[in-house]
Amino acid sequence: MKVVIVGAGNVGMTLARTLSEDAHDVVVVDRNEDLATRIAEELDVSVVRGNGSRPDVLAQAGVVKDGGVDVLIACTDRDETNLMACWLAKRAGVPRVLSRVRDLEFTDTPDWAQDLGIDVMASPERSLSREIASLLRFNAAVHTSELFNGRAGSFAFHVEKDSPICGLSLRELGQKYPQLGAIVVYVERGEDGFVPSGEWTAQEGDVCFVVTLHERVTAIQKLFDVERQKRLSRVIIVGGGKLGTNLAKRLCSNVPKVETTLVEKNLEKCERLAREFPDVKVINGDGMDSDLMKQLGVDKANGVVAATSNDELNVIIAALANINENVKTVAVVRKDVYKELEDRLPVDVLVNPNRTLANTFLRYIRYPSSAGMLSLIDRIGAEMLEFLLRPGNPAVGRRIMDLNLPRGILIAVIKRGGKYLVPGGAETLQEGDVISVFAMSEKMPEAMHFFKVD
Amino acid sequence: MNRRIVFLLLALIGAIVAGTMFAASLIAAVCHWPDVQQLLKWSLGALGVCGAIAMAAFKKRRKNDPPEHITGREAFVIVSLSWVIASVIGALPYTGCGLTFTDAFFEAMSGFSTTGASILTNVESLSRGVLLWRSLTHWLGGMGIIVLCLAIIPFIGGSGIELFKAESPTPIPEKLTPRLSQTALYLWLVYILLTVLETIALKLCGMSFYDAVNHAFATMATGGFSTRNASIAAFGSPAVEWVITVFMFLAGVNFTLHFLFLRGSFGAYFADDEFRWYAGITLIVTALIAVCAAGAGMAQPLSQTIRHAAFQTVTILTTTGFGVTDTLQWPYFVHLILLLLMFIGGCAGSTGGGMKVLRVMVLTRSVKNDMLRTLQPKRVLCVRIGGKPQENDLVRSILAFFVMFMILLGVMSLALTWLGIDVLSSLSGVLACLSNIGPGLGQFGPVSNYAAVPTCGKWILSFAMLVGRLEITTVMMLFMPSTWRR
Repeated sequence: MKVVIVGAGNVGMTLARTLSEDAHDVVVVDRNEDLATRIAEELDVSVVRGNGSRPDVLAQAGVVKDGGVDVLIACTDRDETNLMACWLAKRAGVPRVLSRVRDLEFTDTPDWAQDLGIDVMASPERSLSREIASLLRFNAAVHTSELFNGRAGSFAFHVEKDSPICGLSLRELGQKYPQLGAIVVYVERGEDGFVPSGEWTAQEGDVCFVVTLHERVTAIQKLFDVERQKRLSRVIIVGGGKLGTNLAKRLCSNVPKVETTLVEKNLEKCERLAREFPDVKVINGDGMDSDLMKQLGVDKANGVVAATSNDELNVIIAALANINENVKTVAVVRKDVYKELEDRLPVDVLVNPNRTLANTFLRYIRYPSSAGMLSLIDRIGAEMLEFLLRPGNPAVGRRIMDLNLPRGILIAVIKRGGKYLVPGGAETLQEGDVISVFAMSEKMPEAMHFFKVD
Repeated sequence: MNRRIVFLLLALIGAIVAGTMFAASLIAAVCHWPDVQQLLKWSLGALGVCGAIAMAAFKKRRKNDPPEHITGREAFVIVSLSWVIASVIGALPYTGCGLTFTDAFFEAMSGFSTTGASILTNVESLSRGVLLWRSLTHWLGGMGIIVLCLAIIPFIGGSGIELFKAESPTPIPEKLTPRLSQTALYLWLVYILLTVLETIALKLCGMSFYDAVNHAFATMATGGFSTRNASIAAFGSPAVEWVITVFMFLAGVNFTLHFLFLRGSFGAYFADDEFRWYAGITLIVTALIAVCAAGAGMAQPLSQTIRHAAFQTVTILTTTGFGVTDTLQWPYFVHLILLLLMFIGGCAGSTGGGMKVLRVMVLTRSVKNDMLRTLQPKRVLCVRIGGKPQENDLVRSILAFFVMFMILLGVMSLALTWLGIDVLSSLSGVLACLSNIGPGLGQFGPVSNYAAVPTCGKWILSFAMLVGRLEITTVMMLFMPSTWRR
């Protein structure tokens, strides 16, 4: 496929690298000379220098009638440029255009994307704030990602020493807790990772990836970690940018009785935030000011999120706040290099909005016509695909245990009517079910083939 | 400054007041009251003079002049002076009853500013026509002479907003409708409707029609002039007292809420932040007074104690100032609580005076925010009204208002003590005039009046009433030299 990427920032770079590794023809458009030169040197892509919202620049990149471009991705940090580039591409007959948007109201409803004729409009701040909120709420979880718009999700937990499931095999677990409503899809043990079989026995230190319904998470969490079971009561967010404010808003409206403090350096921004969010304690100050943070009760907080625009600052703020067992620290980083440091930094979770965005776009390019929604579990390289079982699908009317699913492919959640369930092996699939299938990324094509999804 | 438009509008406003007086004289003529001549003479005289000035000012307009425009400076002058002129015209009929001009002006200003402070020792000696005029001054002043002008003088149009702002008794003037004249008309219609309802209710409680109309005028304007020497106590009817309590309470509510209610949003009252405070203050203070009075072992049935407690609370809070009993016979606690109530006043945008519940509410919240900031100096907060964030400018202007209010109270009380009036009477008297209530404490208590004040003191109190009605800034602007610069 021929892909044009407008904007060579962090997101554009990641996309260009991954797509060219996937053997696509990539053209990158950026007006910054230095960046363009760097890309031309580092990656096997062609580069066009210029403003991506101008027709002649885009024409150089092949965005003209019958120019053969299949996809255009606009991911500069200016909405106007992105939307203009998308519009020009659509007019030139590019079949699929994808755009990043910074202003959250554009992604409030899917209508905007539809009206503007853009196939995907994504703002990572929204999905990321949702992810952070659930990481804070289920504070034993080291990873979460959503399924079915948040009704279900995958969560990763450490098996602690005093956990009641320590020493139980998966089969015994199912017998002991028949009403669990959860499925263990993946286990990390030391350097290894695998999809567990019935004989797998839980050990202290294992990281279990569990898929379950949202209302069951608290109960599941208790099985893994008895001690961290505490209600979220005080959260400190440093940085009043889009991500920080969106998170504060989400916490106030979704988590009962949580005291949310937002620390922001810019006074004018603080005033605007104080007007907009009556329930948030807005503090005009510096997150690096440890006296201030102590005054705000950082030692009694059970969630600290560093979401300023500076990666290094975020890591340091989160590390500084990581002073006891009860606090969960989250640092927002945008540079890829932090992925390598993930396990070595004294920070509980690193989240990367640029990666989230790049993943959204990649997902769409890799499985363009798939009927369903794909979620990535980036940390372990696994994917979850949601799709509808149409009449005539060979799986309809059969029990899951009789399907003979290839190893490593699991049916994690079923949406039947308005209800969601985590199925056992004896569950019979029905026409009209929406199922969510788990597989490692390299096995996903096989899974799609198995269920006749294309 | 555009002097022509100032003269024109002042003359027109004078003509409206004189016209109302003329209407009163017609009623007196129809009813064969003895004071027809007196009213007719003065009203026609004033009408003639105002009409002549208005014509002159109107004719002076040259063809090529730009369209009329009223800026803030003209608005302050027009509004302040119009109230003085109205009081001068309104004072004319009283001079025929043997009052000095000082006394007559005091009485008229007290009427228009809906204060209800009187220098008349024997109200019942006045003839019926003059008494009706006395109540009418309340009624005109209650909703506002300017609001009336905006509703009926067509050419003011859009530039009237400055006038509206300068007169309306609220820190946040709001238009109910896109067009100002429409808003003014609706406000007056709501006002008239409530007045009619109260008249009917009072009539049903056994008052004579004449008394019912007069008291309805005085209640809806939160004025406080009665046709009897003993005020409401003269009727000795619990039903009348309850009816007046309820309508005083309604008059102290923001008229925007009445309008919204009549337009069909029945939850408008309790959805309003200020109204909840207003109702809360009323209930709590009533309970406090009732408990205190009952505990003091006053020899009266409990129902009467509660009724009088409610009446006194509402009459002071809404700045009406009707009397139902001599509160000075009640425990000291009640004296002080009533004195403190005098500071608060009715809701913003009501006919009540005082500092307004809204200002007290905003100040309280701003103080709370300041305390939170003391605890956490870096915290950023804002004051909200009904959940809506407010600009810091509003808090600042309300603080300025509060400071000016206190300074004026201090200076004018000082002046009264200079004239030999005792401290409590001076303070409460000036406060009662500044807040447009009427009766104060001490020698200005509910069963006494302002007759004994020296001439100079009466002018000071008249000024207090004017400043209080126009919410200080409008009048104080007249003393700023830059207002008068051409």
